[in-house]
Amino acid sequence: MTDERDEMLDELRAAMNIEPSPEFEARVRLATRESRPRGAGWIGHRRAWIWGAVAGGAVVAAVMAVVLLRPGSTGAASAVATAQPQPVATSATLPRSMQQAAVATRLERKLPVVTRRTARAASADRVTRREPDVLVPPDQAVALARLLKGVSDGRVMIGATRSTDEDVTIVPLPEPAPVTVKDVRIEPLPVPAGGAS
Amino acid sequence: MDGYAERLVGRLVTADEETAREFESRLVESSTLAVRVAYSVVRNRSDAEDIAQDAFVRAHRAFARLRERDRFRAWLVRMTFRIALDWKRGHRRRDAREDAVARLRPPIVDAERELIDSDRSMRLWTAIDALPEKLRVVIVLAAIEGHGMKDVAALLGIPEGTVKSRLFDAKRRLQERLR
Repeated sequence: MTDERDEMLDELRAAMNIEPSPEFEARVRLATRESRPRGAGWIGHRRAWIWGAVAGGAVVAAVMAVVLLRPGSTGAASAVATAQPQPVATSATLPRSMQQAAVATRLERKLPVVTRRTARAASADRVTRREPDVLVPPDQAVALARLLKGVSDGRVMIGATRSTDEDVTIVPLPEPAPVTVKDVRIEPLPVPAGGAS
Repeated sequence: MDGYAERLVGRLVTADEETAREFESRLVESSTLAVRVAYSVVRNRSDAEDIAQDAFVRAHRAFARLRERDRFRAWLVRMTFRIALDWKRGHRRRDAREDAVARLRPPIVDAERELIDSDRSMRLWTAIDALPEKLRVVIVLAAIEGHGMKDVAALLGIPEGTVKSRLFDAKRRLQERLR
């Protein structure tokens, strides 16, 4: 039985005993000449492709970084927008005339003009046109500067001029007027003589 | 700078030459193997050479990871076998169509075809075709001159014991079929 199997294998061996034609290797050389092996040398196809992808990724990352980190970007603008400008001087520290002037200055400011610009441009605008921390009329700026200098030198005591809680007169708010809503009566629509069709 | 560029170019050229030399040696020592493996599936010398050439071209593209001799031969055998099976599947459908037309024409006498079509040989190949793929590749590789169990195991990347059992199984099935 084993002999029979070996005979069969011999038969198969004989059937497959072919040699490639003399020009076969030359054909293969010709065919492979055009296909450069990947990774051979520096600029193999695969490596070139990887380097291209890496370079592309770096460019995209750089563009994203510039867009996101510049002052007018959404992230920076949202931080600025949430932080409202806080006046350094409170109502207690400034004279009444200065407070009124400050309020007037605020009211005189132009309201932002609504245009069709993009949100990014608008937020950039908010950053560049930043509101000053203290609103002081120009004619009183010199006096305020002297006051601040005096405070820093110790010649002026702001605490001495601060009013206490006892000085404040609390005026009760008027009671809200009752609101009456009249009953709404809906009259039925007149039906035409012929009836609904 | 010029000196550096020259050295760089020199290195690249040397690397390319070395790669070409290595591939050339792989081609010379493995061309018969690839053609025979392809022939075991398609049974036509010209088609077998086309398939083997295709496998070599693919091997050339992936030569960076196939430089080791054993790895190259194992990869080449598997790739050739795979391409040959695909080729045969595609041509089986085409042959069926062509056979219908050929019945209308007078028969062409071809010495090689006549030899293959001898009864015993034809039955043997039919029996081999009917084997499962994993048994078929083992018996084909074992039948190729000079391949022992160890060689077949290395070419297929499987243990020698597995090769023995598969070869035994393949022979048994062929014997039953040829009886």
